[in-house]
Amino acid sequence: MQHKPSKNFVWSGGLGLILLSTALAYLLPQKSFMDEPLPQQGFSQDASVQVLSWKLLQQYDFKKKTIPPELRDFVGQKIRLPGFAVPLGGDLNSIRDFLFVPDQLACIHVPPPPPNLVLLVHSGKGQNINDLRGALWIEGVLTLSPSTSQYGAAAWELEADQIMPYKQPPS
Amino acid sequence: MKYSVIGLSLASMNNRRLCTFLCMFSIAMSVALLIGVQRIREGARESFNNTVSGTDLIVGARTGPVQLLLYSVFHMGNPPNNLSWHSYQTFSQHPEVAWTVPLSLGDSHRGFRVVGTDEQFFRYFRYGQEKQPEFCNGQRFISADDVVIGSDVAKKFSYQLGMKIILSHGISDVSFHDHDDTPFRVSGILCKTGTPVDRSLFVNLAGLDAIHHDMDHSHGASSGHHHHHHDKEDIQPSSVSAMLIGLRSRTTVFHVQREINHYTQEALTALMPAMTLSELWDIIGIAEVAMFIVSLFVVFAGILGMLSSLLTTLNERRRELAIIRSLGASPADLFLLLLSESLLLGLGGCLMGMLLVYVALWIFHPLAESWWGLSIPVHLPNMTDALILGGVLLLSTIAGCLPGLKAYRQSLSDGLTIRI
Repeated sequence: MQHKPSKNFVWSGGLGLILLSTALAYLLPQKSFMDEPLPQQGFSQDASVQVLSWKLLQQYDFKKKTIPPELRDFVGQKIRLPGFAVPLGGDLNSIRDFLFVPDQLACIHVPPPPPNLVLLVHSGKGQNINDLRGALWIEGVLTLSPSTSQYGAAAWELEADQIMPYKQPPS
Repeated sequence: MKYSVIGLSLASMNNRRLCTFLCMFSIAMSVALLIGVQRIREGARESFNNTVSGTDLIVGARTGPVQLLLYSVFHMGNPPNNLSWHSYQTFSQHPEVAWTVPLSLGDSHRGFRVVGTDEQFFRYFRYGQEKQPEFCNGQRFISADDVVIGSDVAKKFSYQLGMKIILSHGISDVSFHDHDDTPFRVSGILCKTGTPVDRSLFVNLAGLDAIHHDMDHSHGASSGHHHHHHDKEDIQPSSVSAMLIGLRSRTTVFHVQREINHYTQEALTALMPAMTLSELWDIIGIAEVAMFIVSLFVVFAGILGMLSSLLTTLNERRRELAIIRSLGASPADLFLLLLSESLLLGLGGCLMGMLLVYVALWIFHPLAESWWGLSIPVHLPNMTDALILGGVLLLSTIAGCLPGLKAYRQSLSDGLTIRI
C-alpha cells in the first residue's frame, strides 16, 4: 500500500505556519512610538522644527499682553517641546485635547503653572491615556489664541502632529 | 492507500466522541471565561468613560476626588457633606467661570436616584463625544413640582407624561419616609444616553428643598395635606451636594482648582474629571489584572485536562496506532497525528467558547443593563479576542507535543507486537 508522505508535509507545513505567525504576534514588539527613530535631543532631524524652551514661553506677559520678538517668531511655526500631559475630556481611550505643562503638578508648595506656561494641545488622532503618561516630547504648530480669560488676552495652543516619550539625553 | 493526518485525527476523535466533547468543552469554558472577562472590562470602561465630558471641574465638600466623582456623576456612594449655597454662588460668579450646574443628591424614587438641579443642567451637561441629553418626550421642568425622568426609569415603571410620582428620602428601594404630601408630575422623559442619567430623575432644586422644608414642618402633623405649592418657588436652596464648572479658558483650570481647594471659608474639593477617572482606572486596574491572571489559570487547567485525557487514552490506542503503522505510517506521522488532534481539540474548544460567549451575552446583556447600567459591547471578535484565541490554540498545540512524543517513542519500541 502506497501512501503520500508529501500530503502530510503540506498539512504540517501549513499548521506550522499558522502557529509560527501566532507566536510571532506575541514576540514581535507592538507598534509604538519607540519604533520610530528618536530625534536627537535638543534639535530635530527636520531643520524647520525647533525646540522651544519653557523659559522663552514664560516671557509672554499675559498681564500686560506683550510678547517679545524672539518669542513672536515661534508663533505659527512648528516646534518641539518636552513636558507632561494632563488629559481633558471624558473618553480616556481617545483623548483629543490635553493640557501640556512643564512639571508634574505634584508639588503643592508652589503655585500651579501660570497661563503662559500651559499649552492647550489638540491631537487629531485620539490618544490613549497610557500613551500620555510620563515625560513626553510633542511636536506641532504653536499658536496664540484669543481667550476670554481675565488672566490673559490669549492662551497658548498647539496642534500636535507627533507625541513621543521623552528619553534622558546621555550626560 | 491515501490518507491525511487531519482526516485520520477526525475519524479517531469521532470514535471517542464523549472524550472529545468533554475535552473541547473544558477548553471552551476557559476561553469563554477569558473573553467574557475582557468584554465586561471593555463595557465597564466605555460606560465610565462616556459619562461626562465638557466639564472642567467638579466641586463638592472636602472629600477624596475619586469619592466625589463617584457620587456626583456615577451616583455611587453618598456625599459626606454638602457645599453651602453661599460658596456655590461665590464660585458661579467667579470671573474665570463661564457656567455652573448645581447637583443635589440624597433622595430616591423606587430605587432610582433623584437629582436636584436647575435648567443649567440641560444646557451644559454633556456626555460621550460632547452629546447633550435630549428629550424624547415632553420638556424640562418648569414649575417646582415637575420631574424629568431618564429612559430606564420610564421603561421600568412605564411612566408617561403627566403622571404623578412620589419621591422618597434615602436611596433604598423601600422607604418608610415618603414625601407623600408633595407628588411630582412627569414633565419630560429623556432619550437613552447609556449613562447614569438614564437611571435618574431630575427635579428643580427649589422643589427638592421645599420637600425637605415641609418634612421638617410636617413631622408629627396628623391631619390633612399641607399644600405648600406657593412656597416652592420662593425658597432658596441652603446647600447643594456638588457643582459642575465650565471655565472661560481651559488653561486656567489649575488656578481655579487651586483656589477652590484652598478656599478658607469652606472645606471644598475641586477635581478635574479626566485626571480623577484615570486615578480610578489605576485602582481598578489592579483588580482587572487579578481577574485576567485567574482566567489564564483556568485556561491552563482546561488544557491540562485535555492533555491528561490524551495521555491516558494513548495506552488504549496502542493497537490502533500499531495498525496505522502497519499501513505505512512512519513514527513521525504518528507524532503529527497526536499533534493535529490536540490542535483540533483546541480549535473546537475556541469555536465552542466563542459560541458560549455570544449566547451568554445574548442572555445577560439586558440584565446587566437593568441591574448595573453596564452596557457590555456585543461585537464581532476584535484584535484582543483574536490574540486570546491564537494563544489558546498555540498552547493546546504545544501541549500536544507531549502525547505526540510518547506515541513516537512507543511506536518505535512496539512495532506490531505490543509488549506490555
